[in-house]
Amino acid sequence: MLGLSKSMSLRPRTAVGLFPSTRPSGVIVSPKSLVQTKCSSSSGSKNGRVAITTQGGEGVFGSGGPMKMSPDRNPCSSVGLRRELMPKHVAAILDGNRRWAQVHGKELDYDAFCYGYLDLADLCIKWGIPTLTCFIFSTENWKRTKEANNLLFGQFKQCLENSSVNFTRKGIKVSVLGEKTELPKDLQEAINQVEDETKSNSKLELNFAVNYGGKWDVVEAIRNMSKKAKAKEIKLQDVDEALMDQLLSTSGLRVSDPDLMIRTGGDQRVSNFLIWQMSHTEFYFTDVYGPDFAEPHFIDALRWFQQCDRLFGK
Amino acid sequence: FLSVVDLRRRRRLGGFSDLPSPPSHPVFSSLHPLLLLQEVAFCKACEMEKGKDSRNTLISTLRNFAWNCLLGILSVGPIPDHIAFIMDGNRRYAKIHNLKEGAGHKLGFAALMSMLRYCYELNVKYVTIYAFSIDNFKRRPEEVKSLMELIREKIEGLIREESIVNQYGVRVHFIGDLKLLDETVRLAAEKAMAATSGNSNAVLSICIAYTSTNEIVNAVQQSCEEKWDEFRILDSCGGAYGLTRYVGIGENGENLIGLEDIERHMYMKVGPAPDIVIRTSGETRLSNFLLWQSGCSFLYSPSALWPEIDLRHLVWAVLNFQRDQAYMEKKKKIL
Repeated sequence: MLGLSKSMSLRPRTAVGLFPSTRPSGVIVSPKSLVQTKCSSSSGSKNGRVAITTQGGEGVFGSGGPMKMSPDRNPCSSVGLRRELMPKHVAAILDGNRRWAQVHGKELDYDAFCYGYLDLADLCIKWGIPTLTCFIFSTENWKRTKEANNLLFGQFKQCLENSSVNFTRKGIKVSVLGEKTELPKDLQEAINQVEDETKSNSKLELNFAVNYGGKWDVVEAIRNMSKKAKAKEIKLQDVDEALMDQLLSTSGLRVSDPDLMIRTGGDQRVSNFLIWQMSHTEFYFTDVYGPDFAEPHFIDALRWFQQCDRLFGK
Repeated sequence: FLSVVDLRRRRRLGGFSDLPSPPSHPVFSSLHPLLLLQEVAFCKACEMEKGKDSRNTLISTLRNFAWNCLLGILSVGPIPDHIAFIMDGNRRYAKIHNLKEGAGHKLGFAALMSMLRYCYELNVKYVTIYAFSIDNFKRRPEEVKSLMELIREKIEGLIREESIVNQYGVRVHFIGDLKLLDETVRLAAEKAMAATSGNSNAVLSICIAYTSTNEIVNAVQQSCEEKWDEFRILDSCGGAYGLTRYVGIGENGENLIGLEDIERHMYMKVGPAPDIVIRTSGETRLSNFLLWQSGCSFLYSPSALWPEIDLRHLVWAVLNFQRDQAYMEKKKKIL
């Protein structure tokens, strides 16, 4: 009667329920995408295709498992996607790991977090996205407990070592962005090894942001500027946006600026991730917890992205 | 101005055809929260615009009571210190309603004035708006010219005695590369900044000819110049620093420009980081707005176009921010 959505809760969400232009709870989608995406009005329903999941983070799509693809020559059209509108660079923050563990009564574990990014990498290869940047550890995450950080570093190192053969087989070039010198020595060695082994691969640029911050990246660019200045004089007038682009940690990528950023877990913020590079990036926020983020959710994100009107200020 | 307000309110409120006279039915005519908020907003806006009490003291008292209740509810949680607005959707609004070019922006200005009043009534101390981006210069020259003309006209209106900035004691800052503006607009902006420099209750930062990347580059340049000047003075006093005319580099090759130096030279040093960034029209991108400052900001994107934004969107943004804050506090304790 009061028009309140069942999905309203104490978790951070976008506006729902009270306002005529209601969106599925938890997802910021442009009004146009509501026409295309079939959304169930009751969250948690397993009958409709929904862009978001319930409070508990259950993946909801048809049977609840990964969508079965028809053996179509053009898989994009079968799911309403257009190959020419695919993002060239996707940034991802698979947040919600801790809450997912609490909901499922499990101990905190970052395996699902790390391997979730590798599954996302597979999806990017499948859907023809050449660059994926994943946020593993922020410069601000040092505030967490030492045990949690050591657990993350240890499991991430294990993930890299276990997957190095697959990286080569799948043509994935791995790079790590961030201040590596502050990381544990064994992790640094594992990073150097996997970067070295995969440097000539070209199917997918897979970047892990470890001990990374957008502000750190800008300060590092100035440090790089100083080094270049020492080699050949740079005048003050040479400092412009184009020079900064060349000196940031993403300068070596095919496309340095992400077209789409996906953040799971319900938090609607950028959290100091690629701040310079994401000036015109489209943000897709979803309530799905990171470990539950699967292909159907990714396709929904891509479908939403393809309907965005990207004007770049015009 | 009043006819523009009239058009907007007629469309939204439907049956209330006489404006700005208050409606004839009691304030609490519907229990629907949406209509209740509309009523409160409408009544409060009428009082604030007219600047005098309604003829009916009982209804006026009830309106004030409703407004105070709303303030009371919102004050249970933290009120954001700083809200930033990306005013998107003016052109789309004009197109949808078959209005002539430029009308959307005029209605958008009316919406802005309403939102500023609500913010200052809610004790939000800092408000930042994205008025014109450097990227917007890529638009058609006629559109840019008419926008600049509208901006100049409205800036001049800001410093009149009866304007909102004087009513609420708001200090105005114009943030951006003002050298890119026409001289008339730039002079109007400088005059407005000077005229309001004595105000101290609240701050309005108007981002014009602004992009975040331009702001960062400018801060880097300013930091380098400052360091260069410091070392030049020290060297002239016999400090023997072995100055090299390099950008930001010291004698031993160490990096001299740090985070604090950059933040000290940002245009937006006039206020804290935004607590909420609201972008209307459902688009979820920052478009080179406050990239440096909005790392921890709550991003809220109602689908309403900017001329349609109203108190209910602001209230909803604040409520969501408060829930988000509670969640962040809880998260900090766990970590």
